[in-house]
Amino acid sequence: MSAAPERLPVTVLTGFLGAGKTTLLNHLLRTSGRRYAVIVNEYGEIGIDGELVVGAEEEVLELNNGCICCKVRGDLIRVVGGLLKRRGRFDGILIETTGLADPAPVVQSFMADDEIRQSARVDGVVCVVDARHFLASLARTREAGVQLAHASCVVVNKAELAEADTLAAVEAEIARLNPGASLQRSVGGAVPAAQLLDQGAFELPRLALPAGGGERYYRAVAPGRHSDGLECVSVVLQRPLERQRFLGWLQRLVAECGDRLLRSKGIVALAGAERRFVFQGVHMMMDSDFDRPWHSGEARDSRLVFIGHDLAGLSLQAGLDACQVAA
Amino acid sequence: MNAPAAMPPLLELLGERWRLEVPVVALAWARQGGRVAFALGDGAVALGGPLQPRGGRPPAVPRELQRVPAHEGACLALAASADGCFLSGGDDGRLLCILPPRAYAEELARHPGEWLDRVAAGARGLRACASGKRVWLQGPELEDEVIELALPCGVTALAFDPAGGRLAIAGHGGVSLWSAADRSLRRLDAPGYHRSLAWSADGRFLASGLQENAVGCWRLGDGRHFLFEGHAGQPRGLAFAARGHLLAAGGGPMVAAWDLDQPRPAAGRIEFGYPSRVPVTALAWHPARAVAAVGYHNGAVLLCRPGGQHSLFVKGSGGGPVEALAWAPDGGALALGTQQGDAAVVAVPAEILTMARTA
Repeated sequence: MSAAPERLPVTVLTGFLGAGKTTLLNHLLRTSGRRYAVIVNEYGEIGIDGELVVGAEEEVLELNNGCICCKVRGDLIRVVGGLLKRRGRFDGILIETTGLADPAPVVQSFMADDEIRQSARVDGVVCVVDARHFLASLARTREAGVQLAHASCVVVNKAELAEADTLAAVEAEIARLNPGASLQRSVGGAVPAAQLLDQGAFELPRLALPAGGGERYYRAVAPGRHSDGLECVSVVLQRPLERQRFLGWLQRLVAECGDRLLRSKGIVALAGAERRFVFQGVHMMMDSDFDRPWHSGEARDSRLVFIGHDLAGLSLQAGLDACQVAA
Repeated sequence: MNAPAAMPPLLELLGERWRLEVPVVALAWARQGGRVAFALGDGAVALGGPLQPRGGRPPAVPRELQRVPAHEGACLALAASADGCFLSGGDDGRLLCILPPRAYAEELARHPGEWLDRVAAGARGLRACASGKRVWLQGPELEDEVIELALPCGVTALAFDPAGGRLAIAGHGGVSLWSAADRSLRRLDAPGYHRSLAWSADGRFLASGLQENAVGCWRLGDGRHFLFEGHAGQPRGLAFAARGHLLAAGGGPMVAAWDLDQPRPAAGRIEFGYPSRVPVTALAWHPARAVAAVGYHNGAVLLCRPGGQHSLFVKGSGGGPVEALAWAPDGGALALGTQQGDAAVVAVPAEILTMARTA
């Protein structure tokens, strides 16, 4: 049997109108050295340089599976399905979403649809923000925080136009709310393509989480002054987790709170397991697996990150503490 | 999944295979004349045939395919029209009629900037194509008129009933049914994202495959809706057997089937096929017998019978997932196409279909 071909990488560009998505898109098309099919949901004032540009009307559809947060994008399932039929003539797909679009249904389309999942994968979600206006957008609109939460890479654009202390505050807020995302400063969207591509952001073996410090590393959750209720909770646990207790806890969490839990990721040491248990989720859709074995000498701690709205009431820390095996 | 050593796959004995090196998007047999067409990812339509009847023996399959340049980008959909031609839609926004004897593509409609990703043709000559939330209908009975339908959401599938007077249009939240008799559009509501359609041979049942790993079916006479949940994957290759009302769906490692004539169809779910680890990606019932050609994600194609213990290999694995399968209208040959560009036509002797029952 012939080897399955590589799944086609898909990069999602998100960000508010005027942040510089199209400029970044054109920069990527010119400098990446790859051939892309581009899907756009609105035509802005700036033209797109690509050879294969497809317009699609945004169509967010709820799935009938008892979960209000399981949504897919009908337009993308159709268009990506069509693009896959002409495979071999381009190297990847770039999706430019509308300014206020929620990236979750875009990513979930690639998780929920069997045919598309077998042939394509989301490589990364790039969120472009305007350094001057981002903090105000974050405070005023839910959409800015949602886009930030789903980002695997944040491009702080128009950095040259922002005051130094504004820029520092923007970057600190991004690191606080989405510590796993890489951060790129840019002028006119000129970020090296290599920094944005081949992220493998949704591939479990490539999941990386910031190391914790000390016995237990925990960011106190303060209702976001700047972030319209968006919060990030990072937890590091030193003792292994009891398998049944933890999996049950995680399942209940996403089933009951999947609507306000935007992103979750974790590398977990389960008691008695020689391999790392890794998971990542978008709302209620969760992907998990036993990954590589723990290296000898590697600290077998568990690191988990949750980004969502109003997480303080969920007692994530206490719930996870209770999953640990007895000391 | 390898063929049992006793017998090489049927394709090697009685078939012809072409490595086209572009994905096969869809295939169809002409309603008459024994020709087959493969719609391809590079915009061409490859024509084969006609099949050569040889008395009581299996027909001689074509040795070559003829490529007809059709669309600018990719072919996205294909159907056999009532007059013996093929209808193709592409991402250049054109609806074409491919005339087999002359290998000529005639433009029937043009919608610049649109992707015509669904086409259907009915038995009495109506033709339909869709892009996004719009469906266009044309045909001899409409004379020069083109009917444009606006749907509430994106169209995922089109299917004419076997008589050709009703068009089912699938989308989110249900299926719309357009009737040529009074040109009405009637809505069949059912929650979920309906992605594929199948009519029973007598037009009494209309089934839909749902994104949410479920199969639904309407009994149109009394409007009753059946829902079969908990399918092993997204339904693929949804189809009714030629006789009766046995509805089959792939998507999981086995074919699942429900007999709508039973008092409680959901309770009588059966499974058949080769016990594999890879999902069924395509399925086509024989036009007369209770035998289905079943295509798998690893490229294998088998003949399987509901209730039968054994399967017969038509093609071994390789060539990528099976994308399309279709029987010639007389049931004497099977055509198949894969995502990595394998296309094949295999003669299937009547004795083989009997063997599939007793082997």
